[in-house]
Amino acid sequence: MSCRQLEGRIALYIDGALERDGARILEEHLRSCRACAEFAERLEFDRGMLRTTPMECMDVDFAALRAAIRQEIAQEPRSNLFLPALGMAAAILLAAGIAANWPRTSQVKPGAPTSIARQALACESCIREKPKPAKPRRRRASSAVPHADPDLEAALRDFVASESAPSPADESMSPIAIRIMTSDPNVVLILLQESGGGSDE
Amino acid sequence: MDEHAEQESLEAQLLARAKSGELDAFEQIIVRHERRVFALALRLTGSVEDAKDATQEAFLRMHRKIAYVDSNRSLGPWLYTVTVNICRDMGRVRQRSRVKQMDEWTAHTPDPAADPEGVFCGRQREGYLRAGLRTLPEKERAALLLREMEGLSTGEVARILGSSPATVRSQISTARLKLRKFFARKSGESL
Repeated sequence: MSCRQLEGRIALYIDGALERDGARILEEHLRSCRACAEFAERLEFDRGMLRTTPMECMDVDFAALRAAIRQEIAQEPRSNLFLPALGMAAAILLAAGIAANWPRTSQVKPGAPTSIARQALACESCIREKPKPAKPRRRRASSAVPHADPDLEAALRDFVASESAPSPADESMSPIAIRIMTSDPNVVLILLQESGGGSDE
Repeated sequence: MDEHAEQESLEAQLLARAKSGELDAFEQIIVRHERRVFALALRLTGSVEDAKDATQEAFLRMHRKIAYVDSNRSLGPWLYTVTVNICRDMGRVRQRSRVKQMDEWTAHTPDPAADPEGVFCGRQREGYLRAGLRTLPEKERAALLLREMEGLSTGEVARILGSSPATVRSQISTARLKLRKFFARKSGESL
């Protein structure tokens, strides 16, 4: 290997990046080769130059630089400082909200009606308990859910009364009626389910 | 506790205070690092004004991201990473004017043969060095400066530059040779 080819290895050696055996062989060569030894010395010299602090560092007014930084910081919106904290708070609130509203499936027995089904059952029992035909009521403008047509409600009650068994023994087999109100008071969707089966309610 | 550990502990305390919004602590951090950041930026960009801008921007970025700065690690490498990125962005923006800048530096580079002793003194030496650094590709220059000026290990330089240690070792070695060739060419010496 010629001295020119060794330059790369000398540069690695200067940086301490040459493996031990390679470094030992190179050191032997440097002891015997004046040109390579001079080259290594120059590289060391360059290294020394790189390690010196630039003279301009003495001239720069760092106090003025800091003042400029302070001014910039003062102009920046303060919210930046609290963004991470706000983000964390939002995440905690979100997690708490999800946890509070998470359906507790472990507490629901298989076959038990869901909250919607319970509402429907309550509605149905309400119809059963009041067999008298409802008086026509005035529609309230403020009511969020419009009332169904009284005739339709009466028809529903008749249907439920005819379909459900009045005896307590057949109570569990009574059909479930789910009434879904639509935005149009004249349109009501009624879903009927055969049995409340294993319902506890 | 040795001096290095003591300094790191002090810096961690300052960082914790700065994170809680104490501007005084933040300013103390600036004082501790400003010269090194400026010197690195100066040799990366080759311009005092650019280096000032880069230094200011580096500390502003630090202030904006202070909540994310790891208190258990030395601030130096974090700041050098930011500085290298800022200077790289500056270089891209001013890429068109680089050729002109290069010519200016080369023109101001002293003739080493005329005054061999003077070349390596003070400002002339710095100009000479910066002219040489400007001939290096961006990554080689950054790798060499981080290694020599900041005394970082190859692994630390690799992390900052997003390279592998092997690549960084090669970049540093190549940069040394190129720089030496530049100096030799300028001084008319044979390699």
